[in-house]
Amino acid sequence: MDKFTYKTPVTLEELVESLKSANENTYILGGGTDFVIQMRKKRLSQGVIIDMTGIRGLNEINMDEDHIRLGANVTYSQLYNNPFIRAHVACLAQMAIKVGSKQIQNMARLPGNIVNASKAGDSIPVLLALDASAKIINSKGETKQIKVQDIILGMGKTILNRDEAIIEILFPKPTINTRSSFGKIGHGARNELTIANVSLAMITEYNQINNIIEKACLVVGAVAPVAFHAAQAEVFLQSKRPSRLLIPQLADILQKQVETVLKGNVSSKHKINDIRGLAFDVFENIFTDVI
Amino acid sequence: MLLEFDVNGIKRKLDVDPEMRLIDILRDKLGLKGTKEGCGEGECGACTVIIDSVAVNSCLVLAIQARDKQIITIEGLEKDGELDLLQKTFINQGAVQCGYCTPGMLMSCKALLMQNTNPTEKEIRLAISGNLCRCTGYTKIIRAVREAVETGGMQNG
Ligand SMILES: Cc1cc2nc3c(=O)[nH]c(=O)nc-3n(C[C@H](O)[C@H](O)[C@H](O)COP(=O)(O)OP(=O)(O)OC[C@H]3O[C@@H](n4cnc5c(N)ncnc54)[C@H](O)[C@@H]3O)c2cc1C
Ligand code: FES
Ligand code: FES
Repeated sequence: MDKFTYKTPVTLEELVESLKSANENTYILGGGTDFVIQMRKKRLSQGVIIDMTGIRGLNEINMDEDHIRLGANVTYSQLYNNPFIRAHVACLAQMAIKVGSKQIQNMARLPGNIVNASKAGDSIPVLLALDASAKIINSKGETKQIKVQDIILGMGKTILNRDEAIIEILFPKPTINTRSSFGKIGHGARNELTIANVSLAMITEYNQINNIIEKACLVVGAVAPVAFHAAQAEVFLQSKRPSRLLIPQLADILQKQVETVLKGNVSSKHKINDIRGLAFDVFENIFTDVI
Repeated sequence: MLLEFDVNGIKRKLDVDPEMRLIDILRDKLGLKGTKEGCGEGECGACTVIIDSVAVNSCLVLAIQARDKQIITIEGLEKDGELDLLQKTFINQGAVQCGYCTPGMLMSCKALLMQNTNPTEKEIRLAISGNLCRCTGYTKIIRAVREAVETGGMQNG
């Protein structure tokens, strides 16, 4: 029969039940902002759609001893509107408000961005910088926790099996010294709805008493098929005192790293200026009160 | 399959196909043609409706995803034959020209005011960032929202 079946699990048990018959024509539905477009483009008309959005309890932002836990149904708007996330995980809130438009932010969720695995996916550099993991459930009801870094294999490719769904994103709780920011420069006719050409997530452990950056984590998005750590920049910033003088050097290091990845690809030349600009934006954003 | 939801305060039960989008059933099954389809890809905002108090592109939502939810479309703004304050200020300020973007624009602005009764200009701009208007240059739209905020405030106080 040339039709979709639509499943609306309300509990994790029902989700597991729905996953049992999963095959290559099974589609997991989050906010639908990627899926509905793909469904129409590819003229998909049969198979099973498993709608995650009605599962109870997955729309919460929680915290335990060591982790922040975001249910699979937490939208970008919820992230941005959450006072704790805004204050203590600024890179995540800043990313959320830069995704698409208000309408997109009200529907779209992190698991969809991960599984879509677009080169330009805005959440990916942020989740990598946060050292985030996804909690995945399968058709046997087993759960496992895998680093987002290890989930994405390449553009549009992940390790997820057809009978697996992401139910939670979690990452270590920030410390009192954690400061972070996210920036992107993109193309698009307007300021809004920009698809990233280059994005940069930066998280630092900054000890204000000693005025020392104890640790820095920088992840560059949209340049390579998968976002990557700018390892040299991370080493460079370690044990430094934040100052404006550091920024041009940081920009040089990031530029070099992006150039290496681009391997002289001329059509991507503008990314080099963009990453320099982002180095300034993001660094200034994090240390504005101390530089 | 059966879809039960609330549209503009009226409980509805409809038989829908899983691949139907919310915009399809609003327009074709419920005859609510005020909601427009522009791009069909989330870029223009012409299809914006309010679902449980937030603005959403009805071209990117499957109809079934709206189960048990409360939907407001442009047709639901008017109350007892009287236009919503925002509709009046849009007219006052000349924020409606060809009108194609207007229903979606109004729903984005309405959603904003439902959450924030006194938005800044920046917040207004952000709220309509997903709504394209080729005619007005947005200034008149922003003015209309400001006017609604100011008169609304006076009415309440
Ligand atoms: C106009 C517009 C603007 C956009 N702007 C941006 C932008 O600025 N930055 C950006 O990064 N993206 C952008 N996007 C893309 C999209 O909104 C994001 O990728 C979003 O995070 C997808 O989430 P979703 O919940 O809508 O996913 P869906 O569309 O529901 O799903 C996407 C994919 O993920 C799978 N999936 C979803 N949830 C799960 C789950 N829990 N477990 C396993 N698999 C799952 C689906 O099967 C599907 O393959 C934009 C899209 C549009 C239409
Ligand atoms: S028609 Fe839905 S955003 Fe353009
Ligand atoms: S009034 Fe014509 S598009 Fe906005």
